[in-house]
Amino acid sequence: MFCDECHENIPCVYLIKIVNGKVFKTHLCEECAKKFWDNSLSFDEFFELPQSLSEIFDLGKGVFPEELEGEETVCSNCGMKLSDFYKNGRFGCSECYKTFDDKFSCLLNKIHGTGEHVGKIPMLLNETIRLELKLMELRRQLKFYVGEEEYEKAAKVRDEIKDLERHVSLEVG
Amino acid sequence: MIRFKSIGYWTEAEGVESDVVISSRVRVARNLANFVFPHRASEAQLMEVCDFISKALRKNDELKDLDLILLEELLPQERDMLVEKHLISPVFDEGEKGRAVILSEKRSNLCVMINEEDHLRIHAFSLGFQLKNAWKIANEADDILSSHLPYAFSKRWGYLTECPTNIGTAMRASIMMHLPALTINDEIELLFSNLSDSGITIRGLFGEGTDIAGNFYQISNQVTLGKSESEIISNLETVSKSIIKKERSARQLLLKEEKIKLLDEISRSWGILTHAKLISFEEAIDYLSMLRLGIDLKILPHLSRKKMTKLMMSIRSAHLRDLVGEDFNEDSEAEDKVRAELIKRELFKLREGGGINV
Repeated sequence: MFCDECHENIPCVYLIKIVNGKVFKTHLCEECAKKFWDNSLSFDEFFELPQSLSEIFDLGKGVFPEELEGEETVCSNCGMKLSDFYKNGRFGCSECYKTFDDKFSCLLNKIHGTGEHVGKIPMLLNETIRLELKLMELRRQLKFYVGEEEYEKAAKVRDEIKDLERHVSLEVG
Repeated sequence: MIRFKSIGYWTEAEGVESDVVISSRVRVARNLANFVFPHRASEAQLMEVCDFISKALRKNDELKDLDLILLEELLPQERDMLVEKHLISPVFDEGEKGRAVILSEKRSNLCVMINEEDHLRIHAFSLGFQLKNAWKIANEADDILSSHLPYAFSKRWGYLTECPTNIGTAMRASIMMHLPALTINDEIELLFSNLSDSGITIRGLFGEGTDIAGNFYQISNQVTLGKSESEIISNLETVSKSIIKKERSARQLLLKEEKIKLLDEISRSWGILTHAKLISFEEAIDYLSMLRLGIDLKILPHLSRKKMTKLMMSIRSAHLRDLVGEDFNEDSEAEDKVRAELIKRELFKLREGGGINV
């Protein structure tokens, strides 16, 4: 997905404009959003901007460095450079996620919020990781059921967790 | 001979809440660990991915019913049909070498694109309001494939995708809806803006940008990280249910307060569709949408919704070509003429069956 204005950068601002009841929606990158913001301060077609817009821009510092100096990090698996990513907003391979982890974590959090993956796990994944993830999911469920005061279900989940924990310690042992 | 005609033929049966919901779809994006993502891959690297998957399919009994077919091995017409059924994307169709689909005669509600934006895009659908069922089909296929293919996955980011906006579950669930009443009374605009806060998007199914043809919409989840598949699905179901309710009450309100206008619109639609000599898909779908509304409101009690859906599907270019066995060679006038004739013939047939009393 690219900025609706320049079609080059990844959008990080989602603008909704309502004029005479008509809704216009657009995804803009940081730069185009700034331009748009500057131009639209005439207020005759004012629309509500999210309060956090300035926060978004502050957060963005360091994610889109003004210039890339010196040696660029290159993914050893696919040869993607950081500057390639800034150009088209796509990753080159699964290893890029590791190679550029420090640079992308912030960006990924900006897109998705601070959450981590919850849900399915691939079948072929290493058994220990599967168990660990399963445990995480179960602990989440336990918290949920306790919050909802569904103690019977919570007890069941707790037993499952105990079972799994024994399993994990066996594996590690 | 066109193969895989039965795949994705969503007009065979109707399904629940079919007065508003046409179909439910789920797609998940998957990539192979360490293989270069399609947009950076050379033709040879793309072929490597196809071969790798194809070998896995042949080696394992539980994957035997899945056929991997290179896109270039499909007839242009077969490809067009898959595009019109929303089973492969138009962008995917433009690509040549190293792209493939996995289809199965046994699983007619499943289609997997190989080397589109991601290595695998597993796509399942179900008629009517049956998101859970569509998810079940996609999930099953994904489990089988993931038992034999090493997926790119991270504990923190979930399934790794080419575009960072898809990570996490990498799932997009969507519901196709017919919302004529909410469109007529302009409530749809409000819906557009309200939904964007809830991590759900709505867009037109046919037509470009704001020009939405036939009042058909697609409602899908936007958030993919930090929520499980079942949470995403139940969230989308809740929102969809409230839209269905809104559409139904808007229809009743139209019937109560704007009855004569409504009858006028439906009658005019009938008149144009049964008398036009040339008609484009976009124009036809707009009028057919009104007839569909007439059926749902029992204004056209003798027309069948199922037949109407079938007619809507059969008037798209590739389907029309297949039906009349003619290639229009981009002659849009010839195409519009055949379309007008087909609609007229089908609608008159329907009238003989029971009569129209608008």
